[in-house]
Amino acid sequence: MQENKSPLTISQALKLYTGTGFAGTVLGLAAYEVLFYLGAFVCMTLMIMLGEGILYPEAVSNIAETPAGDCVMVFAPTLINIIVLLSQYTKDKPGGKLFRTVKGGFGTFVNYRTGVYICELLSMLLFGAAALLLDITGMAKIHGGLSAVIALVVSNIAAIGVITFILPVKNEFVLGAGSVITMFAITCSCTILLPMLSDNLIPHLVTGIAGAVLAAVSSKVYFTHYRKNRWDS
Amino acid sequence: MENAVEIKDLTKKYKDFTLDVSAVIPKGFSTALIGANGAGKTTLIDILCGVSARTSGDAVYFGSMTDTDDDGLRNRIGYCSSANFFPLDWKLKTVAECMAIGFDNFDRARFAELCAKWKLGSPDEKKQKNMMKMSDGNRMRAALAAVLARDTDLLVLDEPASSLDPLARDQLCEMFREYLTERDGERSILFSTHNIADMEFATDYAIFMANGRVIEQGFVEDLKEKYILVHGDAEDGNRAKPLMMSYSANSTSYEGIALTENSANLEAVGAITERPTLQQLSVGILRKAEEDAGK
Repeated sequence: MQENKSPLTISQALKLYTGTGFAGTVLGLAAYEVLFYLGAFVCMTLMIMLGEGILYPEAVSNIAETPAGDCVMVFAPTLINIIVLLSQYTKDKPGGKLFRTVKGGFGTFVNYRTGVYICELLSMLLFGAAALLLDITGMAKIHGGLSAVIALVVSNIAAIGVITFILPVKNEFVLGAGSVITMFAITCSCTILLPMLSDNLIPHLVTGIAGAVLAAVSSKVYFTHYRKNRWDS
Repeated sequence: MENAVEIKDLTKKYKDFTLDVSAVIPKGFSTALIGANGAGKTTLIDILCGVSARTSGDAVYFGSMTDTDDDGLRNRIGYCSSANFFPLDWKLKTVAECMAIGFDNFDRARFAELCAKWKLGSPDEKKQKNMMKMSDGNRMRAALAAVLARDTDLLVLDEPASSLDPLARDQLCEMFREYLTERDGERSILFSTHNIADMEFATDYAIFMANGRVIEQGFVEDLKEKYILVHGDAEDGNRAKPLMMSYSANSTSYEGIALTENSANLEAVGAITERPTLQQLSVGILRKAEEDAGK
């Protein structure tokens, strides 16, 4: 008998696993990230206004003088990315058993995870554009400017690549804590250091390429491990 | 007799547990998988539905299909696990949309009809509760509505009655009958249960499991011919006990299960024999398995 194994498309797989389509997931993630950033920036600005007794524009200028504001910018997309990355739908989680019986089986799962990576990247780009817009309009200031925003995007790709390597860790506390520490270590240091290293974007390009290669390799390793130890267990 | 599934030496090895099963699920009937907690019922169901991989052995579905990764087979099996089958943030609308994406044979109108029948609301309503806010029973009803809204040949349900109230269990039994009679002789059901008394009406064939193995299987009517329920006064218990498979006693009486071939000898020692219910049969067979395992 001819066997029939057709994984759902990336968009269908995303819709199936998350209940939201491709565009909805990207826009949703970007919206959460921008709102988180704005909330954190406003909070930081208020603290400076109250602490130093200065007005809003001056407080924003103060933030722009140091990379502290850039760290705030890193927090928002980084935390959201971690939360999405750690949703693994193992058999013991709600929906875990259903997803093992749908069309395409493991192929559909691979497409779902691939969709998650693409959505994270696209939402990061949208977030970067929004952060630059806020910088231009003066609502929130980025010390490193465009260079810092590009550094944030490329370092997130690298961080996702590294975290994918540790996703097989079964202990949820170790996995959660390890992911947060790794993600912030990579993205914060890159976002602050890369703009200082060079006036051009070559370090950014190198980080981006290295991150993309790392993400591709770690995904391959993750899928192989997941199939053997979680999916087929 | 044709079988919906033939299970041949199917094994699954864990550190502290081994499942080793050979059994059949007859085509056109409702089969109950009966066993104590930890007997291996869920493990077996998960393997049969492609949720877990087997260590060795085969399961042949519908005469020729063997690969649970095959979408053709996936579409013919309607599977539902015991708890939290859907993510907790899903609403009925999400369930309908996602089931339509995940399976070729999902009928949204039928799903809406079943949701209405079980007073879950409509998947088309604007304001809906998500799964997290539903009671355990309603979550199970939603999962059953989703699986019954698919045009399948085999239903495999893990503890479908465990979180349902008595009325809903009765409705579930009726639905089993409707499902089987809709395409008489073509469709089959496999379900696991602890509430065998409530599900007796829906059970044609029974597979008893203990410690990862099948200890008895057969059509319920045949099993009721094979075994008898034995009871009597406590003072006669010691004479009846050697002839019985399972035995329990209190200060005034004893009760248990015995093979029908021993009925004359049992009556000779003052025992009363009766045709057992499936519940009594289950208790007797599982008690015997527990005693054997303890030896």
